[in-house]
Amino acid sequence: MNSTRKAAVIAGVLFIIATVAGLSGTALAAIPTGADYLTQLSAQASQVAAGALLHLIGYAACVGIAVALYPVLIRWNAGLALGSVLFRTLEAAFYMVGLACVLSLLTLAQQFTSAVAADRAALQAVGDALQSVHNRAALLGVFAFCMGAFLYYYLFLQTRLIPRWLSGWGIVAVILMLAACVLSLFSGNLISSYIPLASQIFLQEMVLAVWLIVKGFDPAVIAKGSESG
Amino acid sequence: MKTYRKTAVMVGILFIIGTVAGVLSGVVTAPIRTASTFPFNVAASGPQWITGTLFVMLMGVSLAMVPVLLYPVFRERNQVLASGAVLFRGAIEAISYAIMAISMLLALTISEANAAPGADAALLQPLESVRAACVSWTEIWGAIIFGIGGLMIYVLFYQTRLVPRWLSGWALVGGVLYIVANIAALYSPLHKAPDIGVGIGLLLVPTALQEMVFAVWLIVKGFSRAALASLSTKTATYES
Repeated sequence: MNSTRKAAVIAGVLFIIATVAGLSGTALAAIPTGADYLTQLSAQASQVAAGALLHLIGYAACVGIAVALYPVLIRWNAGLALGSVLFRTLEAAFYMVGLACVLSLLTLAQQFTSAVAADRAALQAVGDALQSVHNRAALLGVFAFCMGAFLYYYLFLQTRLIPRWLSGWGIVAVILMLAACVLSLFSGNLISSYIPLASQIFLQEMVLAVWLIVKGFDPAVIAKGSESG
Repeated sequence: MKTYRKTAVMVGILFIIGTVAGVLSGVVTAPIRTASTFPFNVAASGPQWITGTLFVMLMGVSLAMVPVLLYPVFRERNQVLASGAVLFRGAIEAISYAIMAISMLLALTISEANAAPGADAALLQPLESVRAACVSWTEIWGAIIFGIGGLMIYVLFYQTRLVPRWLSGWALVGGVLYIVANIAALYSPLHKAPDIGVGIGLLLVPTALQEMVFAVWLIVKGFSRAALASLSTKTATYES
């Protein structure tokens, strides 16, 4: 298996790891809703910690996708290839800010449950602020994702390394996701509440992952690219 | 030889978008920021405030794309400085804008909490003080990173002569003054980022003017063809 074929398989596997780890991490480490979320959170400490670990794996995979594609895409456009690594790295950085808030909430929740009633209002105010930073950092992470993903889909579309229906679908899905981000920013609702807009990129990424693992990049395009580059 | 004409136009446009978005963010949020009840008045003008935040994000993305687009041109001359510019102007500077955007949205949360029934402003005030301090410090360190990354970009322009040396030299001098102004701000009594054109903020003026002249130059004239020609012949030397 040559290095280009290997890069496609690695990117495909990382797409799947990022999605599975991200979804299961969210299922485990979701911040409970309702006014008594700190009390609920303190009862689920180990579950949240496990979710955080899954998230970290997912974030590494997010960056890994762009890193795996980089040596292939650099043959067509070094700037945009590096740009996709940059934005998917920023994505992981913003997610990690959010994750640090979740873990800080865990510490806060433990103090909250042992605090006397008079002190609880102050801890609750800090908790609300942490939750706000968590939600907004995660939203910024999705914005950065949209930029990074747009750059590699744009290169895929230009080079025809993957079929145009697949790269075109990716661009449309990214634009829908961006629309969900803007709606979420103005409404204050979580991005996960815009499932019709957000689901396209999920579907497209899973098809893309299977395509990259099974078929890889178009060998004719690779051969032509290597000659000219 | 590639002329990178499209790259030059794109970089010029991104500089202008970044600057205009930054100014618009200030303009849109000014009536809210300068009110005596700030930040508790933010929730009453939520969409206006969020629009200001969106402009900060637009500024961050535009300015991060500048070194990304310049990378293919510059890596032929000096890969270390070219990727350094992407790290400083792309990654670290973008993180500073993200912290500012998140802090602006936190002001919205604090204001909403204050408007809720049974709210206690005495609990929210210390949170707001920390938030405001975080914004001030981030503005300053973000500006220092902006200056350092800018020096990398303009050293590359000076060396390659892709734009005339009076323009890249102006940027280098302006960049040093820009960093000096912000280091001074670190030690100022209130640790506030300098206001452009006011006091120590006068040192920011050369960079502000240069960036706009530079943007127009790139859009109208592009990169020097002679410099690009010598750049592509040098590629072989660099590779070895």
